[in-house]
Amino acid sequence: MLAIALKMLTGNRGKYFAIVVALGFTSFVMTQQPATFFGIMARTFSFLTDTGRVDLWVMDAKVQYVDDAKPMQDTKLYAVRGVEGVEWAVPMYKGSIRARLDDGTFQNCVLVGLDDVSLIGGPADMVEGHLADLRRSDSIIVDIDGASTRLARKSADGAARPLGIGDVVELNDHRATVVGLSRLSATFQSQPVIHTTYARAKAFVPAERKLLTFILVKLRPDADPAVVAERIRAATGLAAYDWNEFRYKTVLYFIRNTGILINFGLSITLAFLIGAAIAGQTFYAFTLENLRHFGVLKALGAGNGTLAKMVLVQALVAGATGYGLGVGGVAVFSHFVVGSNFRFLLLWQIPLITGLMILLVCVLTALLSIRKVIKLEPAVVFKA
Amino acid sequence: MSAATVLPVAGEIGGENLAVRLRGITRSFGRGESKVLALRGIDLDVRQGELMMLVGPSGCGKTTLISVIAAILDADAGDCRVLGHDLMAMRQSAKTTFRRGHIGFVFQSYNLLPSLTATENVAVPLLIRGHGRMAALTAARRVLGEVGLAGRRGGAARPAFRRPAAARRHRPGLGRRSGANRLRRADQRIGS
Repeated sequence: MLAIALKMLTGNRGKYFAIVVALGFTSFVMTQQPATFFGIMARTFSFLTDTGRVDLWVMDAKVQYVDDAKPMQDTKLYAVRGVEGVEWAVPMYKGSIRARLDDGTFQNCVLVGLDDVSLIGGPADMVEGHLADLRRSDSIIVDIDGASTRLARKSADGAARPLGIGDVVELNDHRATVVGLSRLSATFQSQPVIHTTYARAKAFVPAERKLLTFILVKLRPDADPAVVAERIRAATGLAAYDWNEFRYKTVLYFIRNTGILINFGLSITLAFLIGAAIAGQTFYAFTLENLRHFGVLKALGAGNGTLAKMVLVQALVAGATGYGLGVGGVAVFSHFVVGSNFRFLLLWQIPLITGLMILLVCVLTALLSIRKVIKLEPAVVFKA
Repeated sequence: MSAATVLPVAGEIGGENLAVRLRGITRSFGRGESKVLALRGIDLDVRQGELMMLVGPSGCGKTTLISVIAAILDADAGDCRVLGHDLMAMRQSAKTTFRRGHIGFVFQSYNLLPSLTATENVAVPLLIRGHGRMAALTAARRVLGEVGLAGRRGGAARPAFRRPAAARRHRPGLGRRSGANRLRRADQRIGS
């Protein structure tokens, strides 16, 4: 009987197509939009991702997110090192700097200054060169995306040439030599990222009294991060977060201070409502159209349970087809955007949630239709 | 049913057992002033093997009566026994089981499922009874051969039903009533 149900469904090509397209559209938007949202959100804390997981990030208490640089005095580093439970602590500078290009224009870059001795927090994925090369004079490491695009040089024939090892870049009127190329996660503002040592970063940027942005802390093996963070707050007045806390704080800042969540949420909600309404109405209309046939089956002795199963199978198959089309469409979409600058992060939970929502739509629609079929008097088949 | 006439047609009557026994069957539709009494105290006996025809003007209650006999419509009152089963005492689920096992239908307007082939349409009652798909289709092909549609039992049968060839269209409908049914009911022109 289930095969009969499927033939009834696919035999009505117009309505079947409308249901599948509506559910496919819903699945596509409900999968693609959150993936784009999470892709953008992941970029907000890409700096944390690339820096690696030190035990604690210490910063000014007023810092709201990872790009919100509120410099501290260098003496704070020593204060943190003196807190009980801290194994070691190193300074990190993070700020913005202007690189002068060959054609005389300027490009804003993110400048990261690493601890001169340990180089902790440096890029883990080096495409060319080595992190230790930063110990050479005037040396910098540039991320390969920035080197290939925004910092690329123009050849004599006008073609762009990626910045390479040995090239010299002018940073705030200071000469810097590229000694390595790193591969980093794309940043929220898509600016090139330049790594150098902390001391050199201080030399590159305009003179300020405070330049220490973060203190990266390693705890002693037996130390509790929450307890040590509280000690640091109490002893220095600084804020201390572990990797997850800082990431969460960053994401929360963007969600609260931009309309991004409302924007994406609205489009997802609208897609769900519109797709569900169209698919639900069409499926219900399909059932009404076939009510006479269900009446025939009922008259011939098909029980309510059998008919309910038929309707449920029809709804689930239509839902599965639409879901497959939608998520398949997202897979094709992601295939084309991989490697581009498009923000896209398809977490495994997204298709799962989309599938559950589509399942919900199908089950609710099927229940409405089943109610109609169960209440159907089989005598309806004798009406001319 | 007041205007309907019950015409027993002479034929082979097998034994004295009654296939249908109705006493004082009433059935109304609607409420209040719009209430219509379709069946008013119908008494009817149909013996096993008897061919019975109901004749009457449109709206006199023929369809209502055979719907009650076929257990797809509940009578308001009276005694209705079909093949020894008391339909008035049956729950809906029991009536469904009863129809599945004992009643064959040839509908007035064919009521073929347009998405299915002729073979599948004929196989539907067997599938409802729980027969395997292959067994049901095999039996359906045999039945289609009996009604002269052996060559049109596959997928090509379906477009034929969309054409207004009623004479051809009713044959799968005839085939659909299972040979195992002890009571067959046909409505309007198919009955002829």
